[in-house]
Amino acid sequence: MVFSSISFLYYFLPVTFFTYFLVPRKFKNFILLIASLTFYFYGEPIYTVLLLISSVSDFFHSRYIERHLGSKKAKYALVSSVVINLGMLGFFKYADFLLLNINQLLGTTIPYLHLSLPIGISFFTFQTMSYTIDVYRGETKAERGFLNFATYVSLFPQLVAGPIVRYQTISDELKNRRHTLAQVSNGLKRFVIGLSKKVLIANQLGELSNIFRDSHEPSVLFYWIYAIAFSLQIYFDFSGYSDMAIGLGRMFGFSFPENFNYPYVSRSITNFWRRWHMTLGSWFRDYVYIPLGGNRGTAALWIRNIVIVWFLTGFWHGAQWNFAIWGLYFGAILVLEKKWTLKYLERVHGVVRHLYVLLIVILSFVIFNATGISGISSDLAGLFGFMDIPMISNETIYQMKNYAVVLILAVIGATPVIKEVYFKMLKHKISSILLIVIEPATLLLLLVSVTAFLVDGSYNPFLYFRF
Amino acid sequence: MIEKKMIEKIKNIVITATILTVILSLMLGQIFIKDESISLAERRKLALFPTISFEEIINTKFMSKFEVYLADHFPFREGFRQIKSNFSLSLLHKKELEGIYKVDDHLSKLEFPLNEDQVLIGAKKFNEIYAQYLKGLKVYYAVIPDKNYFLAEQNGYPSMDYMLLKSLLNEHIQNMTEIELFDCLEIDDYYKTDPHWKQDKLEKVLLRLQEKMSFTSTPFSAYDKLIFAPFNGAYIGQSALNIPSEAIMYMIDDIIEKATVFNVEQSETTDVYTPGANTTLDGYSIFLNGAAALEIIENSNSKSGKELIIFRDSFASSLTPLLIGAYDKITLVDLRYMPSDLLNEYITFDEQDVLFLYSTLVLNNSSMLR
Repeated sequence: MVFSSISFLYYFLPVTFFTYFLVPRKFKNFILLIASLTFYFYGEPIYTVLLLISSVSDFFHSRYIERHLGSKKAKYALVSSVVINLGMLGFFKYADFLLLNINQLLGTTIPYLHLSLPIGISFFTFQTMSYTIDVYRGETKAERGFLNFATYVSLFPQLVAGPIVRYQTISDELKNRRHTLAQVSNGLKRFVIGLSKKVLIANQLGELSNIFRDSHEPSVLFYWIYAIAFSLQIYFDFSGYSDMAIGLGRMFGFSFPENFNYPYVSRSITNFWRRWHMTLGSWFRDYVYIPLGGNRGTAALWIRNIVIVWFLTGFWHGAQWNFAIWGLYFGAILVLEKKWTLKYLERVHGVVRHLYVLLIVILSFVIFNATGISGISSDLAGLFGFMDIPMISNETIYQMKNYAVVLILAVIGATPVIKEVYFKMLKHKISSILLIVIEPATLLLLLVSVTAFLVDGSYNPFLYFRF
Repeated sequence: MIEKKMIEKIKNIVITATILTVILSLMLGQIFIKDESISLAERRKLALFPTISFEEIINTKFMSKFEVYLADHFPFREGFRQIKSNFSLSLLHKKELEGIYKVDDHLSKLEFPLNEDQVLIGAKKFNEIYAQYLKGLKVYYAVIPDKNYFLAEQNGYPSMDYMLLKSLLNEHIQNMTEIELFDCLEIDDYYKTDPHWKQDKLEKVLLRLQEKMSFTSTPFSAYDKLIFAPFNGAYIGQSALNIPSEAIMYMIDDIIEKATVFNVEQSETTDVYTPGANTTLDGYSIFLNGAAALEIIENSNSKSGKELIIFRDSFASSLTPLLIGAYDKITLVDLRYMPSDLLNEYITFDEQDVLFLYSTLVLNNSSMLR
């Protein structure tokens, strides 16, 4: 089930919400667990078993680890847990990729498994792994109640596309959380804003990307419009999902970590990655980069660590070489920034730094969205005029006009301008009173508009569901 | 401080109440409002509640069908579709709604680019039919420009290369005489909300056909004009724009009134105009009772000894009644619904005039011709 669907918005959500608030406190987690399993089952009936296996495995592994903390048994249990999690992830996500490369390399014809990717497996396996590792490190206590733990693993707001919520972030809330009108209201507000980002902006930009792919009149300018549109699409798609997840979490009394902080206003790539998919970045930092030694040791070791982390970050996004290249591309730029370019960047005008980030990021998403390595080279060739295409075509001009307002709105929405205006309004008495009407009216307008787009069924995929 | 908290509290109450009320109301609305079976605006049947089975749930087909069902039967569906259209056009300033655009009061659907391969497939199909059935007969072909020819390029919309389409046909179609129709038409000869042309605006087209094919048709002034209304063209429903409906003006005289239309596939005989039947979803079906694979129109009053075979798309439905006076019998073949291999099972090719009459919309997608 996806958040941007009628079944979720007009059936699952109200039924879950009202049931949750009607039952006594001790049954609330049970309701959330049942709702979450139903939510997952609706999209992945068979793979719901994987979710349960992951929950059972890490629940018992962590209990065992805690009992034997400091001994080799704990270490073996940790290895066992990580192997099970990575095994599931590797088998379902990377098996065919591995077979493809073996077949290509060795000329063999090993048959492919053709497994469909269980939705959200990259997210829930990373969550459960982080939990068991934290228990092993003594940073969190193992959960005593299976119901609480299974609720954590399967919690529907962040189950399929993050943010990656660590157990210790919400362990207290799992057992005892407050529910206030402000939380519900803020949660609903955040949810509607995220839903609007997804349906009203990201989906429109997705249409433009598709039009570009199907175009019979490509041009250099069209390649750039596509690159910008896709970069904005993925931001609005993914940050919109994170907003919805955080909003839903808030409605049910949970505080999920933020996942995006206006990454496109960054003035260095180092800063960009502190603002983009923050929970994934911190996961790799805490569970891969630092254990590898981080930036301690020689420059060579540090570069090795960067390469490993960014290869894995890229590869986490999908079993294709372009994702690995995408990760390594960022790894290389981060090394360059930290070693050399950052100090020069700090001396140039902010606009130049901003343009530098945008160029690097836009090119990265062209790599990210390309079909294989040949797709990367042809897309980059198109961008830089190395293809036999005109600089501009009639279709390009038409689509530019067709999507001009969407693109402008997306660019404005990718900056904190609206948020700053809102906070300024809150500070003044009259405007804050006006907001009593303006805010609900705007949210209502957004909800109605989103519903209109859902009812008339158009392009509506979630990009991060495939990761 | 207290005041600020109070403002925040009021706002929280209003937001929560507003959003939850909307969600709950629409949910209850969907549960309790009776399902419709068809959407007149969209000219289609609406999805039924999917059958529940273990297999369909496990392979998620049930869920996919359920989503379609929910969207199809959502309360105030038409209103929401109109909101979407207005949001796209007014707020997002989109120039089209999934291909449908509006220029002045005319709606049209983008058809571009020119699919040269498809045009050649069409030309090849015409040649094959000629070689198989039509040798020795007088064979003509005419191309009907779609509305984009008059609207698209002039208003900044992408458009197919119509001249190239015509020259490709001219170059590849053999043994047939081309009848030029582009200069016989202008945009107001078409319905504003529909792709088709208006029958009462076809005088120039008719005269051109008459001149080239050497028949004598009834003068336009001799027809009585009748009106069928309201007519909501195909693009109204597709675009969900709130646009006034139109009227179909159709021409009738004694000959047309007494002529009969025999639908071979349905084995059913009807009048030339059928305002009382089959027009619920598509008003244009008033002409020859809508789409059909093979139809035979008999003019019992005529003794001209002339017969005509038209290979056609839906544009011919409104033109053909105006040809009835000139022929004893007109056979209409729609190759979208009937394979050309079967033609000799139903038609004896012998001395007839033959006209291939196709719009650019079909020729640009000629693989649909069977």
